[in-house]
Amino acid sequence: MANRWGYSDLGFGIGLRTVHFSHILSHQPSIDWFEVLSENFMDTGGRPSYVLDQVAERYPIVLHGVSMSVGSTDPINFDFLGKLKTLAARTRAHWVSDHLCWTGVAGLNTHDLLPMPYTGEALRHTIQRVKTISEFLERPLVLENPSTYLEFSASHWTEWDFLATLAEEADCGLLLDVNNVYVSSYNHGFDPREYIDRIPPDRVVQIHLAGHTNKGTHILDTHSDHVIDEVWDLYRRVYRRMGGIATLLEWDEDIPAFDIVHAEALKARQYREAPVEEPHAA
Amino acid sequence: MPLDPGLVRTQRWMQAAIMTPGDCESAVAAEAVAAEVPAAQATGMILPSKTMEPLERLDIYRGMYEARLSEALEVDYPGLADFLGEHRFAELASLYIGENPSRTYTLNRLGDNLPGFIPDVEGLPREKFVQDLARLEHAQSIVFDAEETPALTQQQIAAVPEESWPDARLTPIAAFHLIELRYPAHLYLRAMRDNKPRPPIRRKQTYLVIHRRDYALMSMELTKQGYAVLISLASGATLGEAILAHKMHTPARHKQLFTMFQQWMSEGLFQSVSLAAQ
Repeated sequence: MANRWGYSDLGFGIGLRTVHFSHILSHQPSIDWFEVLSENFMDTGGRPSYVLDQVAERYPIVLHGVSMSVGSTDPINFDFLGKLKTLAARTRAHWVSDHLCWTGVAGLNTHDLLPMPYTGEALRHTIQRVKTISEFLERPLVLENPSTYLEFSASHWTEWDFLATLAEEADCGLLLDVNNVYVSSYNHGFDPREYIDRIPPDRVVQIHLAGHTNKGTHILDTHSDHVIDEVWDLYRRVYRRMGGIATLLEWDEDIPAFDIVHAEALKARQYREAPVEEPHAA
Repeated sequence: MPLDPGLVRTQRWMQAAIMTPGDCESAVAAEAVAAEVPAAQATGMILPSKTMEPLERLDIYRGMYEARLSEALEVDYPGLADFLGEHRFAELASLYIGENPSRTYTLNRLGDNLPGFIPDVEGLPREKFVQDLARLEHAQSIVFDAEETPALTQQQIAAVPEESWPDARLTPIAAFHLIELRYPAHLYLRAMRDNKPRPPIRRKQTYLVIHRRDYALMSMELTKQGYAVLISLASGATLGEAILAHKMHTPARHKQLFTMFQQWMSEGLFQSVSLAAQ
């Protein structure tokens, strides 16, 4: 099923990371696409900027950010958005994404993806901001479901219904992070299959997969390991329901060699092709 | 019972609770946090999970905040972290972050105030060396991110008539920073980078130009005179003015200057040359 903007299924990509710069420039590996962390390239004219230009010449690029603070009650940072828009034009980014979260208020920044209370007030507030941001960027913003470690007692909505309603009302795309669905389901005790089944397929333009760290009492979204079987099962469920969607493997801690990260991303291909089995519940 | 103080207060409360040092219980009781949500109601803001109490869940974010920002500082100040050791660096980072919380979307500039902060920190070992190390690493981080500007080519240099050089103004490349230190801190960083034993910390007035060549960070040691001439040139003086100001016009110094000048040009320190009005 195609998304409503006709964004392509770019295939299987990985995040562009500093430790792989030399390998990518010297080997020019055969990989479908790269996701770029926007903030890492906005304010530098050094080697990262040079490498990005080289990579963007050869591969499709998608921009993914962590600082838009879509749900914050602080004013929207148009200086940041201006730089993001410039970077998107420079790299000919297929789309631009960030997270359903807030990162700071009162002029401060925690540099974390902090959870929203899923209330009517928060929904109205976020819808308005997503509309404003999309208009400024002159493209639909794509929002990712974050991993969360607490739930506000004030929340009236489930995260998936909040996200689905936000996407419809603000007319934005979704980046469905399957690992984050699993992590949050473990931390909060919901059924990840229900989450996936309630997300409107025509809004989803990208999938994230990653490994995590299970601390026993909770799971941290560390992007530090291979994808676990339960997450692959959920990915297969997404494919059955939504069809082929650009899929990206995130690996941000203890990053192994390029070929290992790429091989992990390519595992997704077999889950698209394999027969569907009933996935594990969290 | 669900507690909803509204989105503004919820976010201010959570942020203040995350940024307030100490344990989680005392953080939610701190004045700035309790001003948003009274301490007695704090646990009512968050649902418990099957395995964790509300404040334990909040504490996950508190732990990640300090760890993330400390890690970001270490990226910009690896030498400082190496010299101080994990525990002392973490203490310094915690103190610094407490007084200098991030105010921008980028972590790249989180450590900008650290060199100015360090002199006020008590109990650091070899404090003057530590100050120099911090100043040097900060300079390197600025040069690393500076815009790329092409260096003067041999043809551009050759196009300047010999008799015009005294009137020439040379503009440094953007990735260029001059720094004077009391210790040769660059040798410490070099040993660390090469995974070699760290050199002994001995005082020696040191003059450096930090620059970038082919996107690689370089630090070149200068003589006191060379440093002074480069300071003048970077400030807009002509070459002739810089030579006179720093008494480099004697025959003995002239040869020294010529050698330095050749080295600066081959290192690509300048992006343009213009001739002052006669």
